[in-house]
Amino acid sequence: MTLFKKNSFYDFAYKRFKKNKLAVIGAAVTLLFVVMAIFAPLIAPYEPSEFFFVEGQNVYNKYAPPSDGHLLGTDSLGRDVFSRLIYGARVTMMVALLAVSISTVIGTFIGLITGYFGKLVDAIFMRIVDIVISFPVLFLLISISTIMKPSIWIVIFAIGFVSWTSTARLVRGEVLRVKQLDYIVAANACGSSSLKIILKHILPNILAPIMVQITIGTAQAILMEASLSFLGVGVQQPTPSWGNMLMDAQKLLVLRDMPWIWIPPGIVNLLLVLAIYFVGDGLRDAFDPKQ
Amino acid sequence: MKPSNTTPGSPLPSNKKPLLQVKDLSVKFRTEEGMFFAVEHISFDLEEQKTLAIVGESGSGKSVTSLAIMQLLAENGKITSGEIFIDDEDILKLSQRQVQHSILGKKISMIFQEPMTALNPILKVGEQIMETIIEHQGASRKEAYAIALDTLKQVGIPSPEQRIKQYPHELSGGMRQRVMIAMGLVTKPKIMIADEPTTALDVTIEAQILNLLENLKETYKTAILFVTHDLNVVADIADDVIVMYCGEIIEKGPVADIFETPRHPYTIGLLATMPSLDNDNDILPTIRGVVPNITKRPTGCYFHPRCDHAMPQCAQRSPAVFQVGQQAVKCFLYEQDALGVQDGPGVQDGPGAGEVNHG
Repeated sequence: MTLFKKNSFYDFAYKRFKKNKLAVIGAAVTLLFVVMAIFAPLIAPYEPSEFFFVEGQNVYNKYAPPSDGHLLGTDSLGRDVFSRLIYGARVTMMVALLAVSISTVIGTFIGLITGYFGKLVDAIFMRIVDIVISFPVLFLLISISTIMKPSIWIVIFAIGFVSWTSTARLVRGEVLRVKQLDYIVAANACGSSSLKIILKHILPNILAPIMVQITIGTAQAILMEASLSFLGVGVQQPTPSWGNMLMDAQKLLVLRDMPWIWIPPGIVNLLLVLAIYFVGDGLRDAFDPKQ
Repeated sequence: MKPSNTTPGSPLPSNKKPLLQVKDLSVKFRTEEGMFFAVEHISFDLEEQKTLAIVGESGSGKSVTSLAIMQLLAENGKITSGEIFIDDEDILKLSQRQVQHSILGKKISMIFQEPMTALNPILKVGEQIMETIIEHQGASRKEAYAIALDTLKQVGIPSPEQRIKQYPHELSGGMRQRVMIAMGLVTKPKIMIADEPTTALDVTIEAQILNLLENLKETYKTAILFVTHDLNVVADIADDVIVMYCGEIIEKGPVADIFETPRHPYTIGLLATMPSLDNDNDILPTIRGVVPNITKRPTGCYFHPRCDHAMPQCAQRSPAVFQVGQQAVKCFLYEQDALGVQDGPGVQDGPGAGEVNHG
């Protein structure tokens, strides 16, 4: 199978990745979740926000234990946990991927210009990074959610805006390393413009660590979304996310007596994050054969 | 051998216009301990189809000189004075953009020492050669491909149609150096700077590459500035030689003259260290001492602590440049000769005469 140009850097990396069992399993599990998220309407037996009633009565069927009708039971409002779990994958992944896209774009851009141009640009942006890192994220989000109507977009942007700093630092360091290599000096000697050198020679050569950073950033964004939603400042009801499904576990009764409500979202969360980390580690090893 | 027609600092009128003219170039580097000169008052001319070799030990400033001409000095390096003329245009007066656009890669190109690292590992060699053509000649990709293929043929790469689609790691060191040369040649620049292009290669490949450079010089009518520490290579390829020590030109002249009658004690020492077949010595001669650090240069003549002919004045002031025959020497030993009759009997008293002519 040839995914990449023969004998190219990525071709070799792909071959090495394939040999790493843990990484392949991680990739498979991740893929499974992605498929689940994409085909949620086909897999889920019910709508995620559909309320169920106790048969023959005008009462919500709350906290129902797993049964044939509800594989994982129902939650505190009488909704099907299994369906919410499957739709929750959509929300969780969308939030994570969009947040990571934002942080990768900002982080890579800032890392490239600070690393390449250095001096004043570097000093200014690195201080901004320091400020962003020092920001109390939770406090920020709680404040925002009390002022503005909470929405999924606020969560996405919030995660994106606080997590670009690690990408920026990583990219900056990589640029500093690559920029002094002979082939960059040689490209300079050919009279290539700065833009061309950055885009054609530097960026492609530091894509590998950026890709590793993207996978790890995705896992971290999933965790961040879960904690924010768990605290009620993330994805809001009735939209299901794995984080806000765990909110029910804040009640002692649920935590003690109704494990079907919080164990499944907890487990899928753990599984997906772990799978993505395995992929990230696999990528890192595949890109760096010396390790 | 055509005579060198300049002396450092004061170029004499020449019948041929030099392609590259460096006048009084000085470069300073900022270090933890302050600003220090890496090269000082470098002047030379390079004419069409000539090869000028810059020779010196590590730290003599030969690479800094070539990087300064290419304006590729590291961030802590700065050209503090001097002019660099390419086609009668002082490129130090141009903006960075103008230099990128109309000088580098177009009029002057550079071949690097390490072919293993001087090629972008994730671009196919064809791409890298084509880049310069597209950048400078505004050619379409198709035209650029044809030119790149042709250039690969010119530099003697077998089955170029196949090689052009390969990545650098699929080529041997010699092949990569040929690719580097092709990259430098593809826009037909008038001047090529070769910074120790054969140091990383084994001797058989070295001979091939030198041969190639020689041929290309004829075909493309380029001038080559050849930076090296290898005197055998200099003897092979150069027309004129500049000997550098501690960032200064200490001797300059036609290659035959320098090799036959080296004047400066350092040059003499350097040539004596060359292994030769008709020399039965078990131990190769060396120059005692080491090149002083850039931050701790001696007073007066930089070479005097290592010099067997040092005089009291050598420690006090830096010698001027004296013209002896075709050679320009920065040494007090030649003060008399330069003032008096050139190539007179006085020269015989110089250290060069004793050790090389009659030795």
